Amino acid sequence: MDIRGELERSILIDVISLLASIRISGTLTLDGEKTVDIYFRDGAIIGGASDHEGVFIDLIVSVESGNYYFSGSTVYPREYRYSVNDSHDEFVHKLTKQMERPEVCLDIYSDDMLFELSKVLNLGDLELDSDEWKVLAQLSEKKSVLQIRLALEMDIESISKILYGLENVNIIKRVRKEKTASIGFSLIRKIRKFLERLGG
Amino acid sequence: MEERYKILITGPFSSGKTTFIQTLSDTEFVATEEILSTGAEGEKKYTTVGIDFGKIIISEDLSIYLFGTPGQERFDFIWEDQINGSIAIMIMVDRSDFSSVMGAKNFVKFYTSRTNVPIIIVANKSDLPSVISMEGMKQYFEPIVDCKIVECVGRDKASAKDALYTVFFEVILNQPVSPE
Repeated sequence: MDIRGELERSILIDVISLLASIRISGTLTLDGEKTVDIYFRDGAIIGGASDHEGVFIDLIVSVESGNYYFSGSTVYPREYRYSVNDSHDEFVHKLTKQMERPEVCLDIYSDDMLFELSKVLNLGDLELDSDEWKVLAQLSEKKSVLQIRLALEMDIESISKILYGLENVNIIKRVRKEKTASIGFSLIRKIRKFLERLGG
Repeated sequence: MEERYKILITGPFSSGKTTFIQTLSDTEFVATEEILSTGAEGEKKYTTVGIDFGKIIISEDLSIYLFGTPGQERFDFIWEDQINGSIAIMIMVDRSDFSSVMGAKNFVKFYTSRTNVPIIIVANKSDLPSVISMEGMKQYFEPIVDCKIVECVGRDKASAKDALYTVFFEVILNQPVSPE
């Protein structure tokens, strides 16, 4: 499978999350003003290298445009400049927070969206700041973005960035609206008959 | 009198929505395709710019209408409009295309927070070589939404029908009160 594309907006988080989901090994190269290699082993980020010096996460975040491509391999350089010991979630969380791009978040969240804590709340080794903890405390029960904003007296930009960070590491999730009997029983009966005819 | 219901077929660019509707439609299929204005997105020459439309006749007094949305985000005003009156939403994903799977996440988030009708992710083009595993798909989407992910080959009628039956089951299961 060809894994390549343009680096735009928040796509890097999605690329890393999908590589983690499919537990792939190899090198993700970010090719822009700088070149940064990120090494994956079974979906986990183990380290990386760059043609520039600096803190690894800063280098990744600084490649704001250009291309990404992934080369699958289980062979890594014998020595590489940066080792990553963070868990996947911690790494993504740090990355998300470093990406100070409110425009990424602003068009995602609306006041009526409902959030709740994930069923399996694993905070692991995440280093949350006080505002993030405040939002989590609010979400001890389902709440809308507006309810959280009013309770914490936060503007939409601040709350969006926090929700974006927490959602990316799956600490919180969106809540579907309550089920309503939106279709009549007659339709259900007809569909049931149809499925029965098919042996379903 | 014929009862009519609508299922929304949505998903990223080139995920196979038009083909899926075409495969399932019992009547003449209506497409709204135009020649692509840019060649940047692969080999595809045509893309949907309006609403693709197909009809499935369940019985003499019941038909299901399939509405396909354009995949590009610049048409997201149509995505929102089309939610009204839908009994289910199928989000098509080209399982062989990394960017399609990533793109589907935006659709899942978009619809999850706007409607409570059943959402089903259709892992399309499953017959192609080098596809993302179903386990990988599950891992990727599970944290975002609780919904079924079904394997599908949209140009194969039997496979497309299987995906549709899953939607029907989900529609029934989604009702808050079990009907007699």
